[in-house]
Amino acid sequence: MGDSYRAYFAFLEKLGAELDTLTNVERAKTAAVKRDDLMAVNECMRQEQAISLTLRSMDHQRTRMLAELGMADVPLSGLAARCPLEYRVEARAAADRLRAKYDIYRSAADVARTTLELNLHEIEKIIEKQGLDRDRLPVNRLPGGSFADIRA
Amino acid sequence: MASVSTFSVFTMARLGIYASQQGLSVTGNNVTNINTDGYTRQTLDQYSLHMAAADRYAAQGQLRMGAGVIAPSVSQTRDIYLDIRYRNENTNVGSATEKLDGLHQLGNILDEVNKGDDGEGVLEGMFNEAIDQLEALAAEGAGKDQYDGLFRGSMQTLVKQINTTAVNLAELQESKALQLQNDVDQVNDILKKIQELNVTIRKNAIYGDRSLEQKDQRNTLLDQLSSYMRIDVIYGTEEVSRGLNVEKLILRTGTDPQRTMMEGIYSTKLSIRNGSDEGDDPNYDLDFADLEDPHGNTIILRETDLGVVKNRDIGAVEDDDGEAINFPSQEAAQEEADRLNINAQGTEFQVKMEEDGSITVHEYGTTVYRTSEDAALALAEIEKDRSKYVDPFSGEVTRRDVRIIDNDGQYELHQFEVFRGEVQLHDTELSGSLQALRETLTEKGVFCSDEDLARDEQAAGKRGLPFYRKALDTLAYTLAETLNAANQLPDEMIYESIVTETVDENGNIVPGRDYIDADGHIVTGDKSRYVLKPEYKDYNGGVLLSNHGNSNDENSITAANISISRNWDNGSFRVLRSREANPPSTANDNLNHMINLMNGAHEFFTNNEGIYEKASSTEAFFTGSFQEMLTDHVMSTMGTDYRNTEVTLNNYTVSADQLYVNRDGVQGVDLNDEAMNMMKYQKSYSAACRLMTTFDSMLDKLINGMAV
Repeated sequence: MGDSYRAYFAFLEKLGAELDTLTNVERAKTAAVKRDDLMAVNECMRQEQAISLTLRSMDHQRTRMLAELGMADVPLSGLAARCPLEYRVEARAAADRLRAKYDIYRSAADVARTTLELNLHEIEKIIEKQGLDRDRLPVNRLPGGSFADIRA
Repeated sequence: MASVSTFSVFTMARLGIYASQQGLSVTGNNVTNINTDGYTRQTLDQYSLHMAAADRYAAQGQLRMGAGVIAPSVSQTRDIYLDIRYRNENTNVGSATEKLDGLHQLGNILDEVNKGDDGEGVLEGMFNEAIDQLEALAAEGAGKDQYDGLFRGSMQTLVKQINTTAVNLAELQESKALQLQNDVDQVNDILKKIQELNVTIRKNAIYGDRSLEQKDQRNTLLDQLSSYMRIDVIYGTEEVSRGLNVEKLILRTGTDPQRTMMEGIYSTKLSIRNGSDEGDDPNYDLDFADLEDPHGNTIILRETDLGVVKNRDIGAVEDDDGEAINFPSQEAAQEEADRLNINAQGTEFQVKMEEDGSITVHEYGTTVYRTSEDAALALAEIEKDRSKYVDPFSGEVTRRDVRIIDNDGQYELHQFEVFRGEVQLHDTELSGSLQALRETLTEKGVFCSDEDLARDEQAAGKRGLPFYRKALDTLAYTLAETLNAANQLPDEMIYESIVTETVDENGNIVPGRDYIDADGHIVTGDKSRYVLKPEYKDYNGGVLLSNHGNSNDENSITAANISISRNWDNGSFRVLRSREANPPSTANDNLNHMINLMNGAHEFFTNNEGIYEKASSTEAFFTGSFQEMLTDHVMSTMGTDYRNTEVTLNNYTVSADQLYVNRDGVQGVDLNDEAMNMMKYQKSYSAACRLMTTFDSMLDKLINGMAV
């Protein structure tokens, strides 16, 4: 059982590392939006999608591991309290680290979202001002035929 | 007939001159306010005047045209979207700034980096100095007063430093509590100012003034408020008389559940329910008072957005056979309604009446009224007895349904929201700097109690001043407990005693021990009269660290009270050099044991009583040496919190700055734009003047130059 706990803590570290990667992507996206570099924004969004798939798979793994530990549906904040005494310090530290990483990711994502939305807001205002029908506007396709709807 | 008369061009030119002049005035106002804080750029509203009505007998070829320009009002160029985004981001910045400020001040007290000698921290250096003195005592001075005194001196310095740190933390806690009170006063001041502006804006709006300057002031205040808490600003309307609607500002907390802080001219006040003057462990809960107008009158009732449910079949009270019961009088119906309410609270009851042909419904003691005004007034009366309606769990506003019957006997269900009493905010309900400050004042991290967790399930991961104070208390307690235990031998080992046997109620023999004095009298309990055994005649161990310098009490030791015990200070107790009987003069086994303890690892426990001894319900939150507890746990945790908050603040600040710049781009005065406007209005003014001159000369020709 001890190995299972340790494996779960290691898993949380891995999750934290994934969040770090995502934070860096968000920073890159902010920089790309500021440069009006749509190609780079598109690339960042592709990376986001890839990481979100990884995170989704990790979430399944987390659910399974928690169930194995008899802690199904236990939130991160309740992890330490539900662990055996000898693992509590480690559990609390792992949960703390992950939470801090998430807070940082959230703030970085917030900046990216704000930057993106501000630009979109500007575009919407111009479209509105010019009385254009936004559904009939040409789609700016990227090389390779792909295009990203950054409003999504 | 032409729609414009012969001389109307004069009016047209006059209107053009007037509009250009007004445009130039607005431009001038913008330019002069370029440095005014919170000023929003104004623009002149203009539209083309068309005076002719539809003319039934108008000829097909008749010319119809406008009659000049009308400039009826001045508007502001604001973008509500940017306002909302900026204020939300400002809340995040306020929260992170406040948290960082708390950690910074904490760092001034606890952060030891580069503060001590030789790269050591102050406390860390003092721990090391004490260990050095203990090693000197063991190596050269076992049993010598001089070395014992040197060790005592180093411990004295150490505990004094721990005391000072604890006092500094307590003072920081007090100053933060004062800051919270100050911030609450600031919030109330802002709310009061907004309320006063709302009164002015409302009054001006009734007389047709748009109060743009007052709205600027209000927006500036809303920006300020948003750093204290997340806010939701809604611009509604209020019908002040039939057909006359004026703007009504509704201000709510931006977190769930939303609490109304202001509704037009009605505003609340914030207060601290459980502050530092109430108990040792205050939670600094915040309350919103009832909404009041500037004269202290309470808002009682307003219709909610839930609207009106029409013609809902409410049925009638039925008898056992399923037949509707008709009552002979209002009183009888009331009596039945009252009885039903008592029997089954929480359900709806209807009483059918036939005398006047209308339906009367009784519900929770309220009656159906024929008009909404009557309903409002009557419900206002009922609401005076508020205790009946306050939600016992949240103390929050609840909804009231009132049925209003129209003249055709049809009824409508009007749903009213009733404001009453104060609203107690939940522990995690606020955000922004107020919540960050509350968390700095209250969060205990691993030391949180079940009650704390019930209030906030994330409490164990949040660390404020109480966490660091308790961590320091744990360090002091564990240090004292360790040294005191090492410096004392069990009483039965060193004192003369006799073994006793007593028989309990089950007939079992229970062994015991009584201590005797020099005359052989039993003096159990009076330690001052115990006699040392010959082989321990030189024993002089005892409590080294106590909870006060004038006592030897080793209970309830904290960082604030840890002291050198009275007997160690006056030389009655010494550092015990050996735990052996009849130890040789060079024995120092216990000194080496104490050195190992000072350098070795210990478990540090949590509990919620302020005493950090191990108990079944507690857990070791850290294992390591005393120095490691200080550096690797307390300071390292603080450093990590600081770093993370700094990164978060930086992110939010970038975002808020960006929003501010974008918002300023919309609402700020741009000199280039204004210069363009100046030229534009100057030219249109000249053109309008020229128009008048031209038309004057044309008419002169018509009047004076024709048929002469």
